[in-house]
Amino acid sequence: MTIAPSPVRSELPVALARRFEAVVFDWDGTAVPDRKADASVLRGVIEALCGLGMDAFVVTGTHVGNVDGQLAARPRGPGRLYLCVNRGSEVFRAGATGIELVERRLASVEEEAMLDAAAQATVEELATRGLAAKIVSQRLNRRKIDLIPEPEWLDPPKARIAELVMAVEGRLRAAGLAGIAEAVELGIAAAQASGLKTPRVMSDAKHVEIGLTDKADAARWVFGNLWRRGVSPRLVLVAGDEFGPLGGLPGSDSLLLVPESVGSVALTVGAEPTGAPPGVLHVRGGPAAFLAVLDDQLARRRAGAVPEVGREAGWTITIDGVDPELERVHETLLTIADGRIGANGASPWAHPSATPRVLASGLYDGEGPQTELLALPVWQVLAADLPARARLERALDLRTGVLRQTLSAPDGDAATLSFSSLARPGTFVLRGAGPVNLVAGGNPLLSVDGARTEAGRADAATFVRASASKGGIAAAAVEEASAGRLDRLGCYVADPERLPDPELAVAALTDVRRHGFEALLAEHRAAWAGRWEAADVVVDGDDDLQLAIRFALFHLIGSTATEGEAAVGARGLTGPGYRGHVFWDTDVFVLPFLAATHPPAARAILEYRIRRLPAALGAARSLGLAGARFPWESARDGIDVTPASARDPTGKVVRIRTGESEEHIVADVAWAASTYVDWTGDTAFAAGPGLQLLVETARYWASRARFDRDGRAHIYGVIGPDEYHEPVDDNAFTNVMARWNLRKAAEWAAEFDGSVAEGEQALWLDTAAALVDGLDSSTGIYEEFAGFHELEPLVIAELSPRRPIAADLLLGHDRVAAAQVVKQADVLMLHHLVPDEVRPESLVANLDFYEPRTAHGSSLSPAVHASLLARAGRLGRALQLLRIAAAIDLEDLTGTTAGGLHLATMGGVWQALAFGFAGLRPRGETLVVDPRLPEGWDQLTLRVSFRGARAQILIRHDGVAVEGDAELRWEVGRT
Amino acid sequence: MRVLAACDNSDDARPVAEFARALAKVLDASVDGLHVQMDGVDHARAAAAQAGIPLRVQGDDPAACLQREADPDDVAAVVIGCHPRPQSDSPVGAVASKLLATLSKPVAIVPAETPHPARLSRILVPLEGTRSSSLAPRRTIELARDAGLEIVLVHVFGPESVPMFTDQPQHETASWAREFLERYSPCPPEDVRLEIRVGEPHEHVVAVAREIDADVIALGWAQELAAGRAPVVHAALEQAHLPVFLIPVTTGQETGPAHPARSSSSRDE
Repeated sequence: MTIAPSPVRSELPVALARRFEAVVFDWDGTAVPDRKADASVLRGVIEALCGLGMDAFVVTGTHVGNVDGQLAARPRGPGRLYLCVNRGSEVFRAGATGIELVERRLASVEEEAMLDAAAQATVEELATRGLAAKIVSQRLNRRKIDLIPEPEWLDPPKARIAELVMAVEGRLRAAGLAGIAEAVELGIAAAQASGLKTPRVMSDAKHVEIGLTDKADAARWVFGNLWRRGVSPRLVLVAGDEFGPLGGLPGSDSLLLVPESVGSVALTVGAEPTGAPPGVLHVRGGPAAFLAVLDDQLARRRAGAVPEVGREAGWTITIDGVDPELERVHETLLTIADGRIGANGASPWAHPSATPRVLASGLYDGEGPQTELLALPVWQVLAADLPARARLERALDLRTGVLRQTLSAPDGDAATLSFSSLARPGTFVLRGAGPVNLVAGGNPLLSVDGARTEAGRADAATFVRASASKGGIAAAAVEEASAGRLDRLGCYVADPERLPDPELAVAALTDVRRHGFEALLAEHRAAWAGRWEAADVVVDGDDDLQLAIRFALFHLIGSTATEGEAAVGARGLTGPGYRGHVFWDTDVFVLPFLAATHPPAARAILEYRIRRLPAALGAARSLGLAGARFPWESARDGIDVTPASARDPTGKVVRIRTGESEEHIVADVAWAASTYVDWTGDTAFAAGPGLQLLVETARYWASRARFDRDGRAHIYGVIGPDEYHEPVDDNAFTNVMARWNLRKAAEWAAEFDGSVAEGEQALWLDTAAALVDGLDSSTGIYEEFAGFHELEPLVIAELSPRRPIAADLLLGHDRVAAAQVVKQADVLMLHHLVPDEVRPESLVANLDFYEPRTAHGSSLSPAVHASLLARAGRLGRALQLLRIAAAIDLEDLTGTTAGGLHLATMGGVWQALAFGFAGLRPRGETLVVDPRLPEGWDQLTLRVSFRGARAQILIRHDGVAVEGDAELRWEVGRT
Repeated sequence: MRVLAACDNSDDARPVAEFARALAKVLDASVDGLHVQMDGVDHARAAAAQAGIPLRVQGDDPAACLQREADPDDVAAVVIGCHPRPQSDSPVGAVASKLLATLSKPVAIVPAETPHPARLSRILVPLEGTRSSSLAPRRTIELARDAGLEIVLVHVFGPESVPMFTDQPQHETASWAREFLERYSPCPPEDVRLEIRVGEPHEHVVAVAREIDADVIALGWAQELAAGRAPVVHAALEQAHLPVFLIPVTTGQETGPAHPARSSSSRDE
């Protein structure tokens, strides 16, 4: 018999009228009516679906020989075909060259014996009731007992399932059993008595099977596989023929609906004599109906249907409509970036408030303080306007980095899906579908007004080159558009040194085109899923915060390159704000997250600094100092690009001193290098370029410090993190960080390199020991800078209507400069970054003193305080500040989110969770965990990478568990 | 379109006539001078002649007459003198007061001491930072831009609206200003100048007007001049010594969310 699709496509339920990314299906009765049926049509459809990117999973109790022998599909991909056979015990993958085993659960000798004993005991128990039953097969990890070993019921087809059930039930009741359910209970009892801890006992009406695995195990494997490759269960179709109960027992296919499948669409094509369960669609017609569903999926893919996104709770940022007042904010929130190129989430349909924008990491235009990120040609725009009376909905799937935009318009609905490939940075993809007037091809690359560009065509691609004052970008794109369907693909090639030849972009595009939309989407999803496997943070018990956390991590990942150098500006790739200049934000706030979750990205951040070491050496030299002086604001060349003056919010033109005097950046760079090594154990880096950074920054401090007659060392005329007071002498943060820097450099020099003279190392250590730190031994409080305690003792917490507040605006610059009003964590930053460098147990005293005096007038402040308050056990206040930090961009608390997201705050959010609430700290080869879990959180879970080992740290109120994939040394301790 | 210039028979008539002429040029309108005769007409005629505007004379109750004459659709705005009464809380005279309360069109109040009534090259427009309040002066700003005036917008952070964060002022201020202008100015950021102050709005608007040597202050308002209401309007009328162009906020204009850098009470201490 040949299975052909039944002509029911137009009658398919509405829930099936969309593209699915994967289909999970039962074999007997769903895909084929029996083992002898001709499955050639099905084979063709499966291979075609896989060729167009859909994944298919067969889940069956029989063995691979039966399934593959009948299906014999050999898909070439990019979609995959898996055969999950032997009722959850084996997984094979079928590809172009044949089938290969992926996973097999092997029973131990003891388990085999237990299975034998359980089956035998079941048969014997049935016999005592007068029922003859037979052990008919010993399959992998299971034993099958025939409850009706009669010729008539030797191999009943699925279509006779109702009759079979009646016959078996009748036979069992005649023997005094209640029915099939009691037979299964006998099997369970026998299995447990034999010693099996978690037996899987089920019935298909004719048999009782006692096994180690079942279809639920297969389903868990399937959904786990899909999740790890970036496919949400909401994008999955599950098909079977026996979902409804049979003989008082759950239908065998109901086992496919495991908790991991929540959100998937379940479909039964079987007779379902007791009815399909709630939530399972019923399309009658058996395998022919299933084939029709697959046919429909194939047609959708061939027509270029726009994929859906998962819309999982905790993973989706949704913007409904276009609000002209907030549109620029929304576009920024929806930025998609691949570490090299970032594109904002502007509507593809033009409207007056739209400001499409594309930026490249490290590609600057202009000179000096006017240096800014180059505005690149944009690719997100279609050749159509947003219709009047249309409704636009935009959904950013954080899990897979894809942006779906759906337009409901009077002329019909349209949709686009776009992404900037994390698997191939510099590659962008856009697919659109809808009415022809809304999804029309046009120019796939549009230059920005005022840009220095040249455009042309080569090899059927459109290219645009945009010059920066040094270097530039070449972009090439192609577009296939027909009958309301559009696929746009392009590549950017950026070079900060010379303007790239368009041929490079065209060549990159030619290479990418070979893969096609489906393969590019699959690898992009998988790349993002892989990053989340290494970096996700889960807070059980706080859904709003959960989404904000993932939002923060998403943009940290997207804005940081993982190869070469990563020039991560204050707003990353999400906007032109702060001109793309690189601040301590990157070294201190962004790097730690990456060092702990994706070390290559952290290494790339350090590479940015390493390549600018010569400029830093020159800067120190120009001041008559030794070593390296990194600039407060850095861009292309590593020279200082801090503006010398600006108009402050009150309209006054003020001198900007941070470029001259905020020197703690020197130690911050060294700290970043050390933090990277703490988390990765990368001794090659520590002995090589890392040591260079440490040595040259130490030399700077050694030459910068001034000794007084009493032999104490001072650093005069600096600005600390608290920029309300400038310049000051002996800023505690600067001095203690310098001290740490000197000591760490001496430690590394002694360990890794004999070329630093011992005399110089000794000088560093002597200078470190001599540096004043402002500590009052009697109170444990560090004076923020020399003379801080003599300032007006203003406590901003008592004076201000609220905090955070820009106290310099509230009170005036002169007043705050003369008072003990602190802009952001300064002394307290020491407890956050170098807790071993400050007096033990001094956190509380300094928190009590400085926290009420802190205005939090910097967006960097709340998260740091959240971390420290958590360490001090003040969890309520810690949570308050954490929520503020997490909301800074989502609620546009600064009024500047339109210009870009606050990456340092996002890094701070992660640090508050990791260092504050979880209390993670590397201590040599050991990761110490010292959690403080708020009452309202059931569990905090963090994924990190420590010294090459991936770990998932689960913190509950009753303890800590760490699951690692390699030997990970950890302990619960005090940090 | 016409600008109606209400010329009384005093020294105030001349600045009214001259400003009306300058305003009409911006609005691309003609000027229609009107005098309601109460106690002579010579000063009014002389002022109109010097300003080069025609003058009609009528006899009637001045407020009712002006209301009636301003009613036609082709009257774009009314210009009237200030004439504050000595023992009154109102910063304007009785006629102007009635007109301001009832006329749903822009009214320019021109004080006698206006230094350069014929000069209209720089306009100051205070903006509160809400969508609703930005709508009223929108058209005026566009017309001013089209007429080549220098447009200066001013926003004053009051104690309740001081931003949460300033971060790096060399970047933050420009970033904040740009977004503010994108939201509330009908002209591109490059076409206008934004002044930001911190403190009491009514103090700073007048101060900024002086600092920049503005020729007129244009304000959207709700047409309530009672004591304690519209402090910025009061301050402008009483202290600026400049023409003040008051544009009624009409019903039906959409409201919108608050200041972009608001603080949320849910996260106050």
